[in-house]
Amino acid sequence: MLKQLLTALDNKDVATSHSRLDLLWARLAVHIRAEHLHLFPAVTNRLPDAQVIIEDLRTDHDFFMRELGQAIAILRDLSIDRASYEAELRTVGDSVRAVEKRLATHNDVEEDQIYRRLGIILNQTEQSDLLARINDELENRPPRFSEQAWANLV
Amino acid sequence: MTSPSNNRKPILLALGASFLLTVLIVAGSRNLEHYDSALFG
Repeated sequence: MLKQLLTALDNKDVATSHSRLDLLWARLAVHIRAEHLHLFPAVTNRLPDAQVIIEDLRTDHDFFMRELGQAIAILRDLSIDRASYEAELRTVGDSVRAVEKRLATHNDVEEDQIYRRLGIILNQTEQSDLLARINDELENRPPRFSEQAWANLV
Repeated sequence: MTSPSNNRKPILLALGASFLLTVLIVAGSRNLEHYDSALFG
């Protein structure tokens, strides 16, 4: 999805950039919501020492949402003036690349420090229960997306 | 019939509770307006 978005931005295809960015932003928000509501509490209940790592991950989440939210606002209100319009598209591209870079590090930390520990701190039943709750949350898509659009099939 | 002075304390308590609730909501929201727009926009 990120690749599709960056390609659309490079091609100055505003409509596609907007739809890809909106989908990325929304899917990331849904993923983050699932982590905040279910994953992080499950970890901190068993590993209070993980609170520091969780706070860093939350800070990353705030960064992603803020950057992508500002980027989509720029795309919604693009200037008619060509010089300004191209500068604004570059700003959006810079934000997306900044998110992409920080997301890579974030995912490594999350995988190593959080997801990997689940098998140690939770038994099989608890893991299954947590997975079910996370999956339910991930299926709770924003109403503006159809099922096909949400699955990035459109 | 209650006099205005009898109503003052409950009114002040209610205003104080409303203010406290507002503070808690703002603090608890953790600046989540960017999340809300993504999820419900």
